[in-house]
This record gives sequence, C-alpha cells and structure tokens, in this order.
Amino acid sequence: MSGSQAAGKGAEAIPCAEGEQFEPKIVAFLCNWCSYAGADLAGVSRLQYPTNIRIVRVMCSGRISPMLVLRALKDGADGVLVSGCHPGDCHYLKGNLYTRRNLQLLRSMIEFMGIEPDRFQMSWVSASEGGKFADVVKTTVEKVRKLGPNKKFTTEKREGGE
Amino acid sequence: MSDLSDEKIREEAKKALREKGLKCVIGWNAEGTPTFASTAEEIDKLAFNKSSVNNLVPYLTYEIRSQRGKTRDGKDKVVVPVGIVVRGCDSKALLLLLNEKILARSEVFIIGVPCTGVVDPHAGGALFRKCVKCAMRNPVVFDVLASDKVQEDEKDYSEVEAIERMSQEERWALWEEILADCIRCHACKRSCPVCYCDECLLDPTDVAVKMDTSAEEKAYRPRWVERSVNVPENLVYHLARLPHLVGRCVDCGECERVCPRRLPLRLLTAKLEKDVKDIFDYEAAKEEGQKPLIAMSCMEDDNGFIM
Repeated sequence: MSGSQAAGKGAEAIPCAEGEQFEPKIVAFLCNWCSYAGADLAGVSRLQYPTNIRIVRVMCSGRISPMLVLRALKDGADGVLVSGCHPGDCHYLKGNLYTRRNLQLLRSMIEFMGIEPDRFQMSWVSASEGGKFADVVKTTVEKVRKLGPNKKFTTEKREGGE
Repeated sequence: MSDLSDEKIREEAKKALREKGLKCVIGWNAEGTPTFASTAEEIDKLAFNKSSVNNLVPYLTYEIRSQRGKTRDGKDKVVVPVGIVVRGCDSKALLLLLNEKILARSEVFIIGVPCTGVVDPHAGGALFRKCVKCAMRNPVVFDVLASDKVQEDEKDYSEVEAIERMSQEERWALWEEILADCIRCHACKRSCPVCYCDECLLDPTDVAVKMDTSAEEKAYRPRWVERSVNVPENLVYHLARLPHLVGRCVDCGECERVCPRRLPLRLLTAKLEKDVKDIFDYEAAKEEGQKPLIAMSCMEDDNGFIM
C-alpha cells in the first residue's frame, strides 16, 4: 500500500526474513479535538502517509499516562506517537501541558535506561493541520524503521521469533 | 550519635508522651531495630546510632492512617498523635507527606536527629553510598532537635552523570544486567515512604482472565505488568515506578537499602531528581506548603522534543 511509497529515501532498510524492508508497528494516541481531526483532514484531503500507524483516539492527550506508553511498547509496538493540541489550544485548557511534563521525563528516563528515545514521539497537531499530521507520521515511521524491531521490551522478539 | 543525644531523645519522647498523650513513639533501639515505644520503660530503649538504618516514616503513615475513619454518627474519628524519630532524609519524606496532606502536622510529634551517616550492614562497616555525600543531614521539619546541626555536603550526581556519558548500547548493557537480576519482590515499592496508595497498579492482580471474563471486569483490574519475572517485565515495572515519583522522590535511598539483590536502584531516582531539577527547577519537599510538580502546568515548559 502507500507504506512502501512513503518509505522515502534516507531510511536504511533493516533486512527482514526475505530481504524485505522492516515495517514497524506504531501505536498513535491522538486527542479527539485536534490531532484526530487533523488525521481525519489528512484522510479527507487524500494525503498519503504510511500505513504503519494504529490510531487510538482519546478525549485529551492529558489522558495519556506513561503506563499507556510503556504498555504499548511492552505489548509489541515498535514505536509510540502521542499527539495533542498545541499548547494553549487544549479543549480542556491544560491537559496537554500536564502530559508534556510527564512524558518529557519518561522520555528522558527511557533514554537513561538505554532505550532509543526515538521510539517515543510526541507532536502537536491542530485540526487544520492535515499536512502536518502526514509529515509527523512519515517522520515517526522513518525514525522507528531505522531503529529496527523493538526487542528490549518484548520477550518473543528477544528469543529470536517474530 | 552520642549517648547525649540518646538521652535527649528519651527525655523529649517521655515528655511528649506525657503531655501530648501520644499513642507511641516510633524510633530505633540500640541494635537499629524499629521500635514502637508506648511506655516510659520502652522509651528508655530508644537510641540513635550508626545502625539506625530504617526510614521509619512508612510505619508512621500506617499508624496514623489505620486510625482514620468515621464513627457511627458520621463524624471523623479522633486520631491519637504519634511520635517519631527522624533523620534528615526521613524528615524530607515526612515533609512531603505533610505537604500532600496525607498526614496532618498536629497528628505527628517529630524528634529530629541530625545524622552523619549510617552503616551499611552488607558493606563491612562502611557507610551507605547515599550517606557518604549527603545534602540532607539535618531534619527540615521537627518539633525538637536531639543534637546540634551538622555540616551538609553538596548534592552529588557524579554516578548519574557517568552513566549519562555512556553510549546507548553501554547503558542498555548495564541496565539489562541489573534488570535480569531483579526478582520483582516489590520491596522497593513497599518500603518507599512516599508510595502510600492502598491499591497499587503494579500489584499483581489475582483476577484470572478466562473465556467468560467480561470486558468490564478486565477494565476494572487491568494488569499493567505481568507476573512473570524477565527483563521486559522488570523494565516496565521499574519504569512504571518512576512517573509516580516525579517531583516526589526525596532520595532517601530506602528502595536501594531494602533490595535483596542489592541493585543500584537509587541511580534511577537520582536521575529523575536531577532531571526535575534541571528541567523544571523544582526540588521535592523543599519547603512547607509546596505544590506538587505534576499538579502545576506551565505554558513555558520546554517544547524541544515535540514535533
């Protein structure tokens, strides 16, 4: 599908089973008011972006606790994207600001423990930024594709199987 | 430290027991065992020396919270105040609990003891690593002090900085080895003075998920971390502990002290504390009436890592 088109140039392919390009699985938590509407706009505007992304809609990015990010990574996601309204535009006024504090520290701790911080991405996408959403997904997928499969969080992949 | 401060602890404890009607005074005996003294004879056994290693604040939280509740006619039960002997690091944890309104200042009688470090029983007479350079030797909250204040050191983050300088592969190799050693006994979580929730998301649930388990039942008891002990689960366990300690960990080092595998868990909390200081210029339990870091939102926070 469009995934192969959008893989882009710079991405170095990690060889998979039969020399195929590694396709990462990415869980995206999008807030209902801005980012989900932005993703919707990207779809309506027929913008192409990789299909590696699995969207979970939440009412506010303030709902994203670090546990959700960790659980997604542990259950086999290769990357996690959290997206919300721009600071100051939150439907609930401050939800995204709380999340920014929490997740900034989580990202730093992940890095400290030797996990690639790029597996966790965060973005602000407003309802009118369909193009930005497509770009964010492209960047995220490319970054995670470079990192390869998420082995540190999962037992099965650690033992060799997929 | 000296017999003099022991005398002072006993004298003040007896006075408070008599005048304030304390339920008991929590302290250490001469061997360093936590002791609950509720009579004058028991108070005579209280002491503070190099083997007073336990942080007694979790006992205090339990003693007071177990008294809470409602009477038959719907009024709050009267809480009998409890006395406690605290070192500098313990007093920070206690101040945090007071700030978070888990305990009320009127419910506790605090005897502070300035401390020059306690001995690690596993290190052959040497001080605990956290005690070698300590920035909180003097109690920050107390009713009486048992001895004169002592000189404090600068906060030392050299171990954390050494790991920060490593490459990512080296860091993972280090932590993978540490995590593979963890037996997930949850001692670090149980002994933490600022982890006081009755129900914890890291507790293993005993709800078996079967074919007929409804979505609702599953949603009520999510199992964030599986019971199996392996590197990924241990990683998530330790990473999940940290967001709960953001701006709250006072670096008392109990998690590291109680660890039966002697894992360097204080590296994680020290790194967290350092980040909180560097990024948000915030320090846990710095003053009375301080607001929690996570409950404050700020438009001016760093946006650099966000696309």
